Amino acid sequence: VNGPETREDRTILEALEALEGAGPLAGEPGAVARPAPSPSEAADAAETLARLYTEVLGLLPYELAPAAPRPEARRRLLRAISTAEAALPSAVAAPPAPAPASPRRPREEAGAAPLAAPAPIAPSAPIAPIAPIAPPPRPARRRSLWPLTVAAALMVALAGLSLWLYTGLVRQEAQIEALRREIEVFRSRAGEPGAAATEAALLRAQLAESREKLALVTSRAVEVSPLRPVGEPPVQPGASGILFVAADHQHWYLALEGLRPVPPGRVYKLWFVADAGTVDAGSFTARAGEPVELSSENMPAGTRSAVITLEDDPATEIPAGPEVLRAAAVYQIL
Amino acid sequence: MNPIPSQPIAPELANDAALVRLVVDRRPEALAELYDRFAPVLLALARRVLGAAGDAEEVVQEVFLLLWNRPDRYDPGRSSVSTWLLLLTRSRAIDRLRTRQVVERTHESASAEGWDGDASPEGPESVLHRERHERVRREMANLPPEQRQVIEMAFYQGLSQTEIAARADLPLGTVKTRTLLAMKKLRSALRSEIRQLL
Repeated sequence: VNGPETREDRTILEALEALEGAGPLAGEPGAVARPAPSPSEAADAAETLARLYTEVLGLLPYELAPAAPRPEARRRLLRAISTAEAALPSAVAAPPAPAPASPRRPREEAGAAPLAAPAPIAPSAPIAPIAPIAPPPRPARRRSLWPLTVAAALMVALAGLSLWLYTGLVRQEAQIEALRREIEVFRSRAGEPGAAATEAALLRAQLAESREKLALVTSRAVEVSPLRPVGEPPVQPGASGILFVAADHQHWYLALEGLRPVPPGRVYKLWFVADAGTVDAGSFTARAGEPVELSSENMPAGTRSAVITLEDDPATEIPAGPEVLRAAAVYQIL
Repeated sequence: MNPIPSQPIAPELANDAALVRLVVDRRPEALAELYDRFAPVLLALARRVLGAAGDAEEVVQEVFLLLWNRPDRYDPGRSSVSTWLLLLTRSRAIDRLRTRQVVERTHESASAEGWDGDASPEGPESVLHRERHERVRREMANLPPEQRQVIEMAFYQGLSQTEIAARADLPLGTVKTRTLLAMKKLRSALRSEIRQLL
């Protein structure tokens, strides 16, 4: 249906080729083995993928057998626009030009070319004047957001996951490698089974935990929820976090950065907002410049959000201190 | 007498996006060409959602009137013309469906009767559309029934994943997984069609 490609189309096609030819995407098994994409590459990939899925949705109705509209409907439409056009002065009849290609990417701005104008020949059918009929009444509209939600979720989740893979997963892999080396050292001390064996067992447990986290954040259907600073102005503007929830809605892993060290006697507390109300998910502290990682195999039923507060009383059962971070939306990775 | 001065265009030379540009220039023959290209699939979609020919035809009219009145709403950076028109039709049809508040009855009626569109004797105008119809129908049929079910409920009935889970009596996580798997399969299987659209 479409004719020659525009420059922008070629860019999209090249991006599609790259996506399809590059093997697994972020979030798919095997993605960890590839070098993590830069943030701009991740954003480009996410945008292209969103466009791709939009086109998939647009193809679905082609499964239906086409239905020929009645000829009167065509005439009615053309008569309606003729009538409307005749009623308008020519100076105000023309609407604004179509929106330019998405301005989010400078590459597209530079590459966007005007759409090719067709050469003139005879129209496929004459436009016959008929009696004017008012356009059909429009019902109260409520725009369906499902396609846009899918596309937006893919974009944001992929970009977010890629960024975190870039930093967090490299760190985790290094940690796994270090643990493996330490285990080898302990194994080499075969003659000292006592304390060395105990420490090796602990290291193995740490290794297993790290592998579980890695598997969780790279698994399919993982839900990703960024945590953003709360307050006007934010209590801790430099803090951020990201919560990964496995498809079983039980295993979760929370990575936090930029939290300030707490004063003596105070703690940070993680709360899950669930069906049963606000549920205490644990206390922790933070060290300057060091990330905080939390994980568990259990999550309260119907958890909708997560909140981190700074509490004076570590034993408090309800959030009483100021909110520091709160989970925003939830995105899902393929 | 037609009050709009029209100039002939070349349907076979004008791609969809170029036709939209001609609509911006108030060329009714460009709108007519787009109507001829897409009205059959748009009408099939509206009928699939609404299950009533009268309403469906009005939805298609609305979409083309919107295209005529606000062609600037088309952003070539976001989707092809085909996808834009079809998703617009879907939204309008689902809006009507919700307004009538007979979502379940009409859908079940359409499904129970095995309605498969009102294929005209003339069929679609272009070989390309016929091939696309066959290809998409085949790939949809290749989906596992449970995945096809969630896609159809979401796309043609406009149900959220939570609503699908409730109606199909499935865990929400299962609905999400099936949706994503189906979309991923279609993405891969329909790659060549997507390239044609772009």
